[in-house]
Amino acid sequence: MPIYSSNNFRVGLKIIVKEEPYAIEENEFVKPGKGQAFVRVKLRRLLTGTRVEKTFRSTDSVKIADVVETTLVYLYCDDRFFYFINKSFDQLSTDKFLIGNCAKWLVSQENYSVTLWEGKIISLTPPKFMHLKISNNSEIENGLQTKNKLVILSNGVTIKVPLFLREGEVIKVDTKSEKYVSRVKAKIR
Amino acid sequence: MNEKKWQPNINIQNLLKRSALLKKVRVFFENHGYLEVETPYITMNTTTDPYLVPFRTNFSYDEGVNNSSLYLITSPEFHMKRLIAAIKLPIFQISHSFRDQEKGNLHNPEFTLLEWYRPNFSMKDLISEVEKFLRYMLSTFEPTEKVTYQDVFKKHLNIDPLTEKKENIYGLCKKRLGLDNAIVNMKQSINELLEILFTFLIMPKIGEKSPIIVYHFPASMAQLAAINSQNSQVAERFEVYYKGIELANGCKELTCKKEQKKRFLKDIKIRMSRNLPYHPMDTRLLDALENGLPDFSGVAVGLDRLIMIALNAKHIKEIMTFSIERA
Repeated sequence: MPIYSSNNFRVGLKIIVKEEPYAIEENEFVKPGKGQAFVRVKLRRLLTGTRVEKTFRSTDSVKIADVVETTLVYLYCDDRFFYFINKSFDQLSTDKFLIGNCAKWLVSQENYSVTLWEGKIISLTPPKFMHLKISNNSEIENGLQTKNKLVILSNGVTIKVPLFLREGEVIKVDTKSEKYVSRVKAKIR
Repeated sequence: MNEKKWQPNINIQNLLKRSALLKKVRVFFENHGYLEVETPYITMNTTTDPYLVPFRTNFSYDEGVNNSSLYLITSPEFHMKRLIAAIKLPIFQISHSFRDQEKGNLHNPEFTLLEWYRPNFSMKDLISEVEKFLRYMLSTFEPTEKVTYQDVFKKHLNIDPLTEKKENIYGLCKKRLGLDNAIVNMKQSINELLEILFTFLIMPKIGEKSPIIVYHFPASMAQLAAINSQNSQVAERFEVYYKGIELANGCKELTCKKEQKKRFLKDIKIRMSRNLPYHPMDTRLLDALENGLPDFSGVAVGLDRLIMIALNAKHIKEIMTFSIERA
């Protein structure tokens, strides 16, 4: 595990603090007059996403975190694990609970941006937009508004869509806001 | 491909403005009766300061020069003082200085110091002149605030840095800064703990609208300053801060050889206790002091930083032709 001296820090570097990986977001060298030197950093805790500030002496050193950002293709799942494959066709499995809420966006053969720490997935981001099929056209009226209705997509997510859409149609969804964006016209191949 | 690395990091506007500011510096000192001098960048005698790391080099021929270690200057101070001892005239210099292990948005290992020294000038006289100089270089701003080291601590942290017990200063560091024990601990000296409090808690709050001058540092932080003749607890040393940046360090200079030697020895002891390389004291400076010097005061201004403020730069490389990464 390579070691970095705090006065070699730069933004984007991933380091280990208290056994966890952090990303350096801001970095400042502080040296008053003729006094001892410090390095003040703003860090993002990769396992939780929270931000912290830390001060190091300029002579301190830290371990570099083995953190890699890459793209994986989702394959399938069983009771406990989700299975992915990378560009070199190596398989990676991850505990279902580690993916959490993002699991609903996992569709076979789709690409996902992941952060790996020591080879394990610590965060997963679905693509900004996904094309999903309406699987259940339950005509639940949205109260007095008759412009929209609720449907269930092939991945189980319930979403509000315009009335004209039918079961089996494919729509474009914003995965962050979980909102309908547009209808996807079927391409004639 | 490092296509851009041959280029300077300064843009043309800043280059022109920096040139104009350098001209202004020379106009100021000419109008105030100072002689421009140039002193060496390579020296046989380096500073004993435990917090500075000089660059080392060698000279290949032995003729009268001790070629086992030569150093790049960390400041032109020692040479300029020896010069004053010989000619007793007001002098100034725009000098490059070199400090290893210092790099950041306010630090480049090679940087520019403006230093000037005047015989028969008290600390008060010099502070007025520094104010005049800053007003001239940065165009008018609100009057500078002047506060003693003691008062600035009392005002912002409610403690008296001259009398407060070490345990309380340490406690304040831990409570207000949450720094872990590696950085703040009782093994450090009171001065180190005070310096930490000043850097992290006081400096960000002072000198926001106009430069602030903090004077009468504790006698134990005198460095090369004379001790105040009325109050032996304080030194005739001051620093200038502006917009969170330390701009200048000046004082009424110590002219007593015995006292200067004592301070050098203290530094050497600290260096040894920290396993730092041994730096012998500058005996030529001591000889100059022994020869006799008039009372005089001097100051060092971080000229790059002054230019950064004048040009609204956020990083020192914006106002340098080639910072260390491209040098």
